[in-house]
Amino acid sequence: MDLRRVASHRAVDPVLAAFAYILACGLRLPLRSAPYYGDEGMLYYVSRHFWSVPANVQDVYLPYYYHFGFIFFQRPVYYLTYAPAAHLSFDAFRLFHITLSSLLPVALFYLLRGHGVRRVLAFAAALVTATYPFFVSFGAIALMDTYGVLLFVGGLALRAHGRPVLAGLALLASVGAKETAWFGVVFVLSLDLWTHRARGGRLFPMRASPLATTLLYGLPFVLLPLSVALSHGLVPGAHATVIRPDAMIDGLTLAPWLALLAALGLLDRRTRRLALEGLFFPVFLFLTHVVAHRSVEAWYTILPCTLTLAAATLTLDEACDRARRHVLPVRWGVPATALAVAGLLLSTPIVAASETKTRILHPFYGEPVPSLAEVYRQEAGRDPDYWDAIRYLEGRPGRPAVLVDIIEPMFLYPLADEGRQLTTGFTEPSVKFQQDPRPWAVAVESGGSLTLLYKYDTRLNHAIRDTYADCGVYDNPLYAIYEGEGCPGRAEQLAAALAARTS
Amino acid sequence: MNGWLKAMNSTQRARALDAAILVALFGLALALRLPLAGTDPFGDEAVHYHVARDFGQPPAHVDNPPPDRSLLWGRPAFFLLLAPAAQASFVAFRLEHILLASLLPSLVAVLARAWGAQRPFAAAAGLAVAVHPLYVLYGVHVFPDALLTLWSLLALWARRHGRMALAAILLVVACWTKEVGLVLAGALLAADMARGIRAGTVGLWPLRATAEASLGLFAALAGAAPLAASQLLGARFPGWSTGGPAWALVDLIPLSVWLLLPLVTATLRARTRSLSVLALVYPAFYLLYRFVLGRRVEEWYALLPGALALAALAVLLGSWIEEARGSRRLSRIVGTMAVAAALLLVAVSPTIGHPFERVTRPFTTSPGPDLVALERDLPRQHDLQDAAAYLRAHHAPQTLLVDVGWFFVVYPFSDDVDELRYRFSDGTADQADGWARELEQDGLTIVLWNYESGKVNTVLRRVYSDCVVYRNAGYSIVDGSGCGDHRDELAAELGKVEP
Repeated sequence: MDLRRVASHRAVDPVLAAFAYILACGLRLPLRSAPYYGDEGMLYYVSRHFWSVPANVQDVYLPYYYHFGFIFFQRPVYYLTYAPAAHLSFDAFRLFHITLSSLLPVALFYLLRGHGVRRVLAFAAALVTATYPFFVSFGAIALMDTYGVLLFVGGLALRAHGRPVLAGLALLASVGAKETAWFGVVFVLSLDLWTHRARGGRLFPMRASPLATTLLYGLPFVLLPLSVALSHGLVPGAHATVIRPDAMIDGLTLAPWLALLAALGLLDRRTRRLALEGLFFPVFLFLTHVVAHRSVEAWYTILPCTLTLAAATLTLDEACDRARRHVLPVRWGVPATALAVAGLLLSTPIVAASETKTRILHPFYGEPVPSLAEVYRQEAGRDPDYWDAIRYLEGRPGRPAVLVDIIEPMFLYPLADEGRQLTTGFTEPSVKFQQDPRPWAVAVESGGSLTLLYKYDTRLNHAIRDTYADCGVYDNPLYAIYEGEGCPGRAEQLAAALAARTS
Repeated sequence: MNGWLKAMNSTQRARALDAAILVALFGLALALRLPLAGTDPFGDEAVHYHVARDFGQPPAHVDNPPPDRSLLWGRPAFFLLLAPAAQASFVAFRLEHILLASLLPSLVAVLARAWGAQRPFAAAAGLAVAVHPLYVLYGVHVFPDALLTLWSLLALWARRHGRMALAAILLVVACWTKEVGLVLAGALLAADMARGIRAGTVGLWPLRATAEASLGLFAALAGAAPLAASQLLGARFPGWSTGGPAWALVDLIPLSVWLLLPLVTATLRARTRSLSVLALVYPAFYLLYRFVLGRRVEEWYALLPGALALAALAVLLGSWIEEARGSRRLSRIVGTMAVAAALLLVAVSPTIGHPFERVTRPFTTSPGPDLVALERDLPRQHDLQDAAAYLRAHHAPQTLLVDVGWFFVVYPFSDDVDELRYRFSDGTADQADGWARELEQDGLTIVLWNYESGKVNTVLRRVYSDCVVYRNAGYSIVDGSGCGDHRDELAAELGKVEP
C-alpha cells in the first residue's frame, strides 16, 4: 500500500476532521453533568423564557425587576439556537452545547487547510482545540463564547474555501452570539476591503468583494439587537478591577510565545492576513484593558486563543515550506520545531499542573495550567456548599423561599425555573441606601417559607443571621437556611440588631 | 452709499442684499442670545463645561463623582471645539457657543436659497430660527445640538454645491459632535445609493458605489466610531429617557404637527423633495424609537430637524408662490401668500406663546416660555452661581450637597472645595438619625436645593432653619458645625412624613 498516496487522498481531510470531532465530544461528555458555572444557569433560563420576567419572583422591597431584555437582545443568536434544547432539560442544553462546541476543532482544521497548511499541522492544531483543558472546560460549560468562536472561525474557514456569502453570514451570526466579535468582524471587513484591491477591487469609489458586501449590509442589522440591549442600560464586558495586565498577556493567547510565532507571520505575504486577524483580538483586548480599563474574563479569550493558534500554525507551515530550500540543519530543524510546539501543546492535557508547566505556558502572571484530569475534578467539585443547600431545598418542593444575597444566575435555575415562589433581596444596597430592615423580617417570617442565605459580609446579612440563629435548619460554611415561620414578630429585633452593628 | 449701490450690477446688488440679510440675521440672533450668557448653567450643560475644561477627569475631591469619561469619547468634536474657551471660564465657554450657534439663522437662509427659495422666504426661515425660543435657549445653553445642526447644515450646503468630500468631512464632524448625526449621514447615503442605482452607476451586489456614495459610506462608518468608543467605555446608549407622551414628539420634532402635511406635500415635488425628505427623516426616526423602544427625546433634539423643516418649508412656499404668480390669478396669489404666512406663523408660534401655541402644538402639555418671557426672566437666574459664590467666599473644609442636581456637583460646586459629597433626600423619611449625624458635623457646610415638593427636603430646611447662613430662591446654605442637636426634632418631624 502506497502510504503517501493514501495520505494525499481527498477523503483524508473529512476522516481527520471527524476524528477530531469525536475526540472533542468524547473529552467534553464527562463534564455534561458537572455543576453549572457562573452565568450558565441564567443562560439556560433565558434560553427557555427569553426576555420574560419570572412571575414567581418578587423583591423584598419593590416589584421584581431584572434586565432580561438586555440579556436576551445582547446575544439573540445564542438564545435562539439553544432554545429547543433548553426546552427539553438542562442536560439536553449541555449536551447540545457539547455537540456544537466540538465542531470548533473541525472549523479550525478546515480554516488551516483552506490556507494551504499541511495536513499534519492543521490536524495538530485541531487536536489542540479538541484536547486543551481550557477548550474542553468551555466546550462543556454552555456559555456562548465557544459557539460565537465556532461561528467566527467557521466564517473564516468558509472564506478560505471560496464561500464568501456564507462566510459573511457566519461572521455576522457570531456577533449575534457574542457581541465582542463585532470588532473582529469590522477588522475582517477592513482587511478584505484593503486586500481586495489586488483582485480589481477599489476603496474609492468603492468596489467591494462579495464578502465585504455581505458584511457591509449585515453589520448595521447585527448592531440593532445590541443597540436594544444597550438602550436597556447595560454594557457588555466588565470593568478592569482584579485582572492584571500580565494576566491578560498570558490569557489572551494560549502561551505568549505563540503570539510571537503568529507575529512572525506578518513578515510573509501568504501568512500576513491570518496573522493580522490572529493578533487583532489579543492586541485589541489588551489595549482596551490598558487604555479603557475594561477587562475580560477567561471565556472571552477563547476567540483570541483560537485565532492566535491558527495564525501561529500557518506561520510554522510557511516556515516549513521555506526550510525545504535551505541546508540540512534548517531543513529538518524547522519541522522539528513545529512538531515540538505541537507536542508541547498536545501534552498539556496529560501533564499535571507544575511550576515548569506554568513557566512555559503562563510565564508572566504564572497562573497554573491544569491537566484534563485536574479540570474534571475541578468542575465536578464546583460550589459544593451551594449545591448541598439547594439539595436541602429540593427535598422540600413547593415551599416558598426567601433568598438573601443569592444572585440571579444562581437562583433562576433551578429555583425560579421549577416554579417555586421566591422572594429575593440583597443586603448590600439595602444597607447602602439605609432602607428599613423590617420588610426583611416580614419576608423571612412569611408562612411556610424557607430562607436561603449566603453568608455575605454586610451588617444586615449578619443581623439577619443573629436574629434568626435559633430558627436555622441547615448550615454549611457558606450558606444557611432558616425556617422563619417558627420565629414570628422579630422585625424590631432585626432592626435593633442592625442598629447595634451600625453603631 | 447711493453711488456705490448704483455702480453695482444686478448680480452684485443681489449678492450684497443676500449678505446684508445674513449679517442682519446673525446680528439679531446674537442680540437675543448674548444677554443670556451669564445665567445659571442648565442641567447637563454643567457637565459639558466640566468635560470640555477637564477632559472628563473626575474632580479628585468629590466623593463618588458622576462618570463622564465616555461623554468625551462619544462627542469628541463638541468638547474639543469648546475646550479652549472652557479653560478661561464658564461665561467664555458660553460665549463661544453663542457665537457659533448664532450662525444658525443665516445658515438656514443660505440653505433655503441653495435649494432655490426666494429671498423673502429664505430670510423668513432664518428669522424664525433667530427668534424661536427653542433656538434662543439652546443657542445659549451649551448642548451639542446647536453645533450638530451647524455642521449638518454646512454639510448639506457643501453637497448642494458639489463639494462632496467637504460634505463627508462635515458630516463626520457632525456625528462626532452628537451621535444622532448618524441618522442624517445614513439618509444621505441611502439617497446617494438610490440615485446611483437609478442611474446604473451603483451596483448592490457585489457593492459598486459612486464617488458620492463611497464618501457617504465612509462618513457613516467614521461617524459611528465615537458612538462605539463611548459604549466601550461604559456609556449608556445615548441619553434618551424612558416614556413620555409619544405624540408630543410630532409637536416638537418638526416644530409643530401642522408642518407635517406641507412637508409631506413637498416630497411630491422634485425641487423640494430632497430637503423635505431629510426634514422628515428625524421625526420618523424618533417616532420609531419611541414606539419600538419606549424611549423619548428631549426638546433640544428638535434643533436639527426643525432647521431642516424650516428650510424645506421656505423652498416649498417659494415654489407655491412662483406657481401662483404664473397663474396670474390674484385670488390664488393672495390665497397662497396667506397659507405661507400662516405656516410660518405656525412654525414660530412658541415665540408668541400661548394661547396661540395651544392650537399650533396641540399635543404639547407644558409649553416653554415665549420669547418675551425668556428674554425677561432668564437673565435673572443666578441662584446657583450666587450660592456657589457664597460657598467660595466662605471656604468650608467639607461640603454636602442635598438634592442638588448631580450635574451641578462637577460644576460649579466642585470648584474651590476640599471635600464634597452629595445626597438625595426622597424616600429617606425613616433616616432621621442618619440625617442628623450627617448634617450636624463640625466644619461641614450643607447646600440644600429648595426642593419645594420634596417632603424630607422641606423638613430638613425647616428643622435647620436657625442654622441657615445664606438663602436665595433656589438654594439654602446651612452651617452644620454651629447647629446644635436637632436629632429629636428632626425625628419627630420626619415621623409625620408619609412614606
